[in-house]
Order: sequence, then C-alpha cells, then structure tokens
Amino acid sequence: MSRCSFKAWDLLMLLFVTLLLFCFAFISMEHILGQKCIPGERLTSVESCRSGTGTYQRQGYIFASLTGVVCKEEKETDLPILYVASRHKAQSVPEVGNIVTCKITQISSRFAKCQITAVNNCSLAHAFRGMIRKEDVRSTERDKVEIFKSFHPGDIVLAKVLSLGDAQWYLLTTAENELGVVVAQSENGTPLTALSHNEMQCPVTHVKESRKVARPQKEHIGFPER
Amino acid sequence: MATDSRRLAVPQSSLDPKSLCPAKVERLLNDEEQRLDGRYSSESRGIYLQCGTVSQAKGSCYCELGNTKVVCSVYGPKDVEHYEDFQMEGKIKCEFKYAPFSCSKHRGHIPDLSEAEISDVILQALTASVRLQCYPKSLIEVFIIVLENDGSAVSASITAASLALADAGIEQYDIVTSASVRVYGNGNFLEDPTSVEEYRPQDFDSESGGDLNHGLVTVALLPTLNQVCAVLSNGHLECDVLVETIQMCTSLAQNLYTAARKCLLSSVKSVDQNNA
Repeated sequence: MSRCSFKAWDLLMLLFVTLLLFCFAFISMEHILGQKCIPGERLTSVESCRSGTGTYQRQGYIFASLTGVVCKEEKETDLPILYVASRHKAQSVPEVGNIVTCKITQISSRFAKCQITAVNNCSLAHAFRGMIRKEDVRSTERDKVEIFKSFHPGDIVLAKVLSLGDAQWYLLTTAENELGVVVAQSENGTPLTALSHNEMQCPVTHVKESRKVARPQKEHIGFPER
Repeated sequence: MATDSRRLAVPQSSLDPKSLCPAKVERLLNDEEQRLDGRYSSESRGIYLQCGTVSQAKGSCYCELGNTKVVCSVYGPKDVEHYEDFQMEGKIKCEFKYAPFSCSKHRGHIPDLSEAEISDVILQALTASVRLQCYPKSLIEVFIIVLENDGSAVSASITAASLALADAGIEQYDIVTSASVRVYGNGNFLEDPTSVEEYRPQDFDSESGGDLNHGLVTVALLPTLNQVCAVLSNGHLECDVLVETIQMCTSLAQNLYTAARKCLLSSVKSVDQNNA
C-alpha cells in the first residue's frame, strides 16, 4: 500500500516539476527584459527569440556579447528579436548596403577617394577610407561619366557601400537619385545651392558648377548624432 | 656641450641601491605558514576595478590588486594600415608596458623583450574572447600601462583589458578574468603573489629545499564558458604540479567574475544617470 502511494507521490512531483519548468521557460524571457547584462551572460533559448545586435547564439541559447540593457523588438510574423542596447553607437564599422557620409579627399580621371566619417547617421570615431569608381557614380550613361564633373575635393557626399573592397578602400556607389553631393563649396568658398541633378550654383558669383547632386530626402536630412 | 632638449637630463639607466647589498635569502613562508605581508598561502589580495577612467579612450579600465596598479585603454575599431592584406576578421593590437617608475628597477621607454612576450600572451587571451568577425578590415588597439608593479601584473592586465574592451562596446563572447599562483616547492602554493614572491630563476638554487617545483603560473579564463584561453608558466614545474596549479588559478579567476560583473554593471548605471 505504502509503495503504491510512494509512486503516486513521485508522479505528482514529476508533474509539478514539469509545470514549473514550463512556467520558467515562458516567464524567463520577460524576466530578463530591461535587465543589465555583460558579455557572456545567457539571456534565453533560441526557441523564444531571434538573436539581434549585441548577442550571439551558442548551443541553442542566446548570449549577450555587449554590456548594456536587454531589449526586445516585436515582430508580427516572426519571433521577436532580442538585442542589447549599449551606450555606444550600434554601428562602428561600415557594412555592405549602409548609407555612409563621406568627404572627397582626392579625385582622378578614374575614381574619387574619400574619408568615410559617418555610417547610417552614426558618426565614427575614426574615419575609414573609401573610393567611388567612375562607373559607380550614376546608373545611366555610365560610360560618359567624368569624375571632375561629378565631385570636387572637399565635397560632402552621401553614398552606399557596394563592397568591402580591397585591403585599403571600401567601394562606394552614388548610382541612385538620393545619393551624391549634399554639401559643396564654390571656388570662392561660399556654399553652393543645388539647381538640378547635375548642377549647383554659387549664390554670390552665380557661376554654375557641375556635380552629381543628391535629391534631398527627408530621412537623410539632418546631422549625425554626436 | 650640446644637449638634447627632448630628453630627460637624467642617467639613461639607474640601479636600485638594494641590488648592491648582499642578497638576503628570505623565506616566503614563516613557521606559522604566513607570508611576508601576513597573508596565508591561500589568501588573495583585494581587487578594485573601475571602468571609464581614461576619458580620451573609447573604453578603459583601472585595476588595483593590492599595490599593483594597471590602466588599460582601448581605441577603435579603426582602419588598418596601408600595407596590411585584406582580411574578413578584425585585428587586435596589444601593447603591454611597465611604466619607467613602476618596478624597483628603472624600466626603459621602449618595450623590451619581456614586455613583448607578455603582450603576446594578453593578445592570445583577448583574441579568444573578442568576436573578430564583427570587425572586418578593422584594428582594435589595446594599451596597458602598469603604474606600480607589486606582483601579478599580468593577470591584473588581462582582467583590465577585457573589461576595457567591454566598456568600449567591442563584441565579446565572454569577459576574461585571470589569476596567478606561485609554486614554492614542497606543495606550497602562494595565491596572488607579490613582487617579492614572484619567481626569479636566481632564487632557484638557494631556496629549492629539496623540491624542484618552483615557478609562477598565470591563467586567463572565460568564466561563463569555463574555458582556459591563455596559460603562462615560468620556472620548473612537474606535469601533475602544473595541472594542479592551473586548476587552482582557474578557480581563483572564476572568483573574480563577480567583481568584474559588478564593475561593468555599475558603469552601465552611471551612463544611464548621465543621459537622464
């Protein structure tokens, strides 16, 4: 008799533990949101979330790789994305497809070289070197592009990262209407105003200079956060 | 006589007056099993860690281990040099330096061989923890300066460097903590040795006391993954003694995790307050 009750008790315990584990699996993710974490801390399992910035996956779990606060981004169709909000800017190196702000440093007949100073509206502490080749300046009539009619040294240009390039240069492109020169100075040093997609004018001398002008876009207007 | 205004007008090399006295053989453990500073052999010194001490650097950490004081600063990720090849993985540059005034003997301004060797060990420990594939074509610079060397400077540096990387927002698999143990013959293990207790080859004959096992072991550990990422062993240690020492270092480094975590979390809090 006693043996039988012992079995029943065991079964009850097992049920209880399973229930507890289930509860824990559901609660655990909510429990970590808004918590501070350091690199290497286990956040949750891959079944409940996808891994976002500042996290990595290992052995079926999501771990933090940055110091900061754990946040969740809800998705309608997919699992929510778990990420770590750090006090540093999310972007510290340019990646393929990013919109970058750069300053032209040197031009030649085949390419323009530039310094990448900001990525996706995040200013970089150290500038990276970039290059816009002649064939990547615009999408139409690519063979008739002349670099000196598109950029001048000192121009501020919005461009997109085409590839990581070689050891020295990131390859950039301005072959979109929204990309190109946004800030430029005339020969006497006054800021130029844009006239059309390929012309800018000096407000003082009324001299027209040719540039690959970017179409002003609401989301690209503004200054990088400092 | 022509003088160079850019140089200090002091002798290039100087000697510690103590080194001119006849060498006094000191026993590191007295009859009550106490060490020279009153600690027992399995007693570590207190550790103090603070992030964000160097304002110019992207991330920094100050570490104090007894009298040992270390500052580490991290810069980057930045563009690699012109002559480097293309690589999809980032690179870490690590420079370990004793300040000229940090040791009992004057240290030069230019890193010497022993400092270069320690730099390599620290680099090895950090490379295991940093997610280098997140930083293609980039360079992360780590500079470590020992302000005062009272033993275990390497382990203090490794812990400080990892916390500085975490403070700089560099992605890491785990933080790195490190600890040292001095093996002092006859089964004596001195945890967290001071500079007097650190292993010197010339001590070997005078204090061997029949046991050949004398040396200093430093281990760097990824505490949450529980993986050893660097081992530095000086001196003469038998295999089983070395294994035991490494295990001892591992558990000591594991104990540092709480302090390191607390330090990083407090730096997050101070940032929130600044924003608010």
